[in-house]
Amino acid sequence: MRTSDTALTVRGLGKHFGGVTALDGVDLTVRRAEAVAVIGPNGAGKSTLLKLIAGVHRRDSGSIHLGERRLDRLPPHRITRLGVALAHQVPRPFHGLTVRDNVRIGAMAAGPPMRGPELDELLALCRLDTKAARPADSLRVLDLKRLEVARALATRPQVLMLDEVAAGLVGRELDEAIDLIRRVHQRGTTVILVEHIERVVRELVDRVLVLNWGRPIAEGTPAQIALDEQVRAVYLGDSSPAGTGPAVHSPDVSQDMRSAGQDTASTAVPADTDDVLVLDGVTSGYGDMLALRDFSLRVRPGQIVTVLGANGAGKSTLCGTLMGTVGTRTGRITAFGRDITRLPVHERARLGIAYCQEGRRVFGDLTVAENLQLGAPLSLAKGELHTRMDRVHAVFPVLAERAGQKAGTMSGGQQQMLAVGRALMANPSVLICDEISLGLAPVAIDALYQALTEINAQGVAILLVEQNVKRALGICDHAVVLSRGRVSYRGGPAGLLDEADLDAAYFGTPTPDAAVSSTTPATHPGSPARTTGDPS
Amino acid sequence: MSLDVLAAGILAGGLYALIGLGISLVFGVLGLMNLAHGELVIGGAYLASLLVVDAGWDPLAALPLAMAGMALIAYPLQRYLLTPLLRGSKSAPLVATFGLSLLAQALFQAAFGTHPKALPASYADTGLSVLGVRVQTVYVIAFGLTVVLCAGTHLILTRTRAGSALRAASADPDTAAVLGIDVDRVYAMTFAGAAALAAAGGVLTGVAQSFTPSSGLPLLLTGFAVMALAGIGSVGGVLAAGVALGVLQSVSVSLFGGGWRDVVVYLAFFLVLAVRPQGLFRKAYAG
Repeated sequence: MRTSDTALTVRGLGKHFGGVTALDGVDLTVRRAEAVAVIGPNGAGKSTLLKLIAGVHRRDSGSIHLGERRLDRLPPHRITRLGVALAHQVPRPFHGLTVRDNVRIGAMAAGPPMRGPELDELLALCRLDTKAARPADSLRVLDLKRLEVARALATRPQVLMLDEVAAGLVGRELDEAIDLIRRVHQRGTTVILVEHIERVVRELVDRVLVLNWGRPIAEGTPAQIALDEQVRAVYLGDSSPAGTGPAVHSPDVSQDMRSAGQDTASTAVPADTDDVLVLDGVTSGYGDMLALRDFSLRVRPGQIVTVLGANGAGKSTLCGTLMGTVGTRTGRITAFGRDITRLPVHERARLGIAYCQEGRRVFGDLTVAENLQLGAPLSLAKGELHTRMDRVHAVFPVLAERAGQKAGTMSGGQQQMLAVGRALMANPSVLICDEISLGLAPVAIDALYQALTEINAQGVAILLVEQNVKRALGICDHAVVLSRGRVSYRGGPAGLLDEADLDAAYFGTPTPDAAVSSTTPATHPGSPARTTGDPS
Repeated sequence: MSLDVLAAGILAGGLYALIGLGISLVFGVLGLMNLAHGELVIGGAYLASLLVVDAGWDPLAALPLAMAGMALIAYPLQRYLLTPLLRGSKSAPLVATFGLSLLAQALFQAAFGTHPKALPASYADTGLSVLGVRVQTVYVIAFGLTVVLCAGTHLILTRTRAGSALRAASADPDTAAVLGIDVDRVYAMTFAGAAALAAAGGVLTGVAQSFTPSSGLPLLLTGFAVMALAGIGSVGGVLAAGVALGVLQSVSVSLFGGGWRDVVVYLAFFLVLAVRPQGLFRKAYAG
């Protein structure tokens, strides 16, 4: 029902990309001057929703209204002029221009040019007034985010949509970003947030819509959402109990306690040549955004270490940093006793570090057999190559059956098996797996986890990055939980089997209740909110 | 229309394909438009001329050496100049290849002068009759060699592990590096291979016609037209496109006269870019 009180109405919105359903039957009504958050795991369709509203993408079904005006058939510039603005996660200012000119150009997109006083007021609102004359390239990350918001506000929007603008910010920067959004909201602008950072949502909005695989699964106040079982299950991955999985070894509590007591994967211990991988105080990230901060980890031969954490916690950055696809700022990475901090990617691979990237990354135009062969060194003798292929085929028989088929034509689960098999072709000492269960059917996940235990039994250490908490805890010797680039839990998997402990490590608060009630966490943001079971 | 015209077009098209193949390879794998490709071709011809004109070798004996020589020159150019530039902006390596093109022309001029050169051979001006059709011997040789080199390139790309490493580095360089493939080296090898193919084209061109330091540009443009026609990623498509272009040119010259020779090439180039930018011999990407 649209009333004069309604700012934006979304009805039955659907969108497909090829065969993939990005959004399906999404309803959302936003009242004037309300602040609403849209949350959900990766691939939930959050950004797609914002882009459909902004007209960047065309909807396939449903409707979008701004007040009484239908938006979903208008081109993006018309929608902007009607008063809908979108600020992006990654700011893209015009680099040659000053901050002031960047904002002025934002204003040109919609209606009459902005006069000096109005522009000054906007710059002041965004705390950019002292930097107005500086070139946009000279800004640090927080100011870039402010500029992105200022450019969106320059179009004089009724509805401001913010797509993860707080991503990559920590500590005081995050406080400032939250403060900015609050000031904008208090001016009477309707705000729609897409956000991963729980604190931003909790402090800013009245209402939360949760999406998963393109469908709405819950809607309510932040407090109600925090208590929603279904939402928790979605955020912690597969909600099925670990017991229903394949015959992986269930966490042996006594062993976990022992290993925790021995400090197997703890910090700041000098590198031991026995260790497979050691990270010592590593900080890394993209551009100005640090995704991993002062992080230490040790992986022993034959160990399975799992790294857990919510979206944006820094898990994939950790993998990239280990492999060298993401540059290390400070700290040291050692593999097999050798400093590899500055070693190029391909040389790390040749040392025996294999990396299964998120999203499988198989070569779709090459055959399954060609993909597998690429995992082995080019100089490897034919005989040894075939021995290794036979070994991989023994773990994943489907790869032998499909040897001549193009990899791109296989199912997601088969492609993931190919990615793991390809990594094994290098005969690695350690296998890094980034989200290998993401988007797969339970039966495919069973097969992969079964294979991981077999691989591990052959002496290969495994670093497992997972969103699927129960699966990962069911297989690992040691667990680390990352929370926005820092460690919030370190120890045996047993310490996370209890839901309250898991919540503490994941959401930084002892219980969901407290997560809602404590509006101003006094702890230094970014520090381990509660470190459980850390023996050091 | 006589069969002679058709045959001449097909055979000339072989040379176009050979020149286009190198350009297509570099663009397909590195994403780099090599504006110095014409100079790689002419460089091959000049390199061969040292052996042919000065030492009296047969051009076909000098051809493998010219190919190896150009590959040796090209490898470090890619490894230490163009690859580091590729890490930055897309336009920097493009401009760099234009600079290399001008530099090479100046070097050719300083070393060999501006006087037209040719590679003398017993078969340079003779003709032969195949099934009653008169053709120039040198073009028959060139066409045969082109087919062999195209087939060789195709087999290396599809049947060897080095070839699949190259296709992998082309499709997803980040993942290739994660698998232990030295992508910089693959790039340099690809560029060296393209230079070798260019040199082969240069030697054959040098036998068929004379060349000067500035002969590279029209060859480059013909090569671009071949690549546009063929699309990226298929060696067979490059051969077909070269032949199609050769026939088109030969037929239009016989119908409208010699002045229309290049007009037809560039018209075909623009028409294909406008109507079928993915090329005539490649299916449009699905999805």
